[in-house]
Amino acid sequence: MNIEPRQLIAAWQSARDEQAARALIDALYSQVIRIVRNHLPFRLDEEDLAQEVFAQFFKTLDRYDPAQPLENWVSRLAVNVCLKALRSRKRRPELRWSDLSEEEQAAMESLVREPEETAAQDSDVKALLHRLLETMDAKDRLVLTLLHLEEKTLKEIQELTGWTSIIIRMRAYRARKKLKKLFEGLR
Amino acid sequence: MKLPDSFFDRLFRHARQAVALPVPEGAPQGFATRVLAQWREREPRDWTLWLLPRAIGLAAACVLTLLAVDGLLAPAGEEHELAGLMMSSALEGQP
Repeated sequence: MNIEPRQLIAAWQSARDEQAARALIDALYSQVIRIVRNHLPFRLDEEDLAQEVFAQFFKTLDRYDPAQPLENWVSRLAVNVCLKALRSRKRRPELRWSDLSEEEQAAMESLVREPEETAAQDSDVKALLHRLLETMDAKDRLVLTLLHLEEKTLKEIQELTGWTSIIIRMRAYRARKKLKKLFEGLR
Repeated sequence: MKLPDSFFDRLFRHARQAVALPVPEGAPQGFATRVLAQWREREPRDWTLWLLPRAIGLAAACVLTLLAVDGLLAPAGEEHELAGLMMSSALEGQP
């Protein structure tokens, strides 16, 4: 049986139908876990954060306007829960060259060479970038991830965060400068 | 260390190209139960938090009403007492 999310929401809103709630969680889980993984704070389990997103989802579901696409509403909620978690949790302490794995050091070496001689391993670069992002301020990290990793447009970021386009551009500019400083400080 | 101009382009391009972990189709076993348990646990607390300021407001309004009623009745009581005194002194003067 494949029931539309809107019907499931109506069943939850009218009678707190737990079967409908379970079906909703199942339908939205992959979307939520994708967002949570991209914005996961240092030393926090992805499932714990996803659980928090769904707890907020059911807390605010009575205020959901069916005229709005459910995916957008869930994405916005998930990003805001992640931002709150990023702000409330401790950041990763500053990284030094000796803290990096051999693979991450090699990735860094390859990235700074001009022209790039041996292509860095994508997974090593990603790991290195994530470790540095974990040392950054919550909003700086969020804007860099949304803009450069998820390649969201300014309009999409505006919808997700509620920030104006000027704020997004300014924050992204400052965040890139800070990230550059972090990379430069590694060696 | 000076970074080349193309550094950020390369950095984010490689990071985007990295193979992402597979995303599960649905929630893992027991996940929905934990979410609903958390929701149930929070629901009465949220209700209490919502109710508390209103209860304080209502109590304050009751106290203010009592004080106002008391303030209105007090002068009337004094007048009544004064009238009683005048009456008794007038009666004392009679043979």
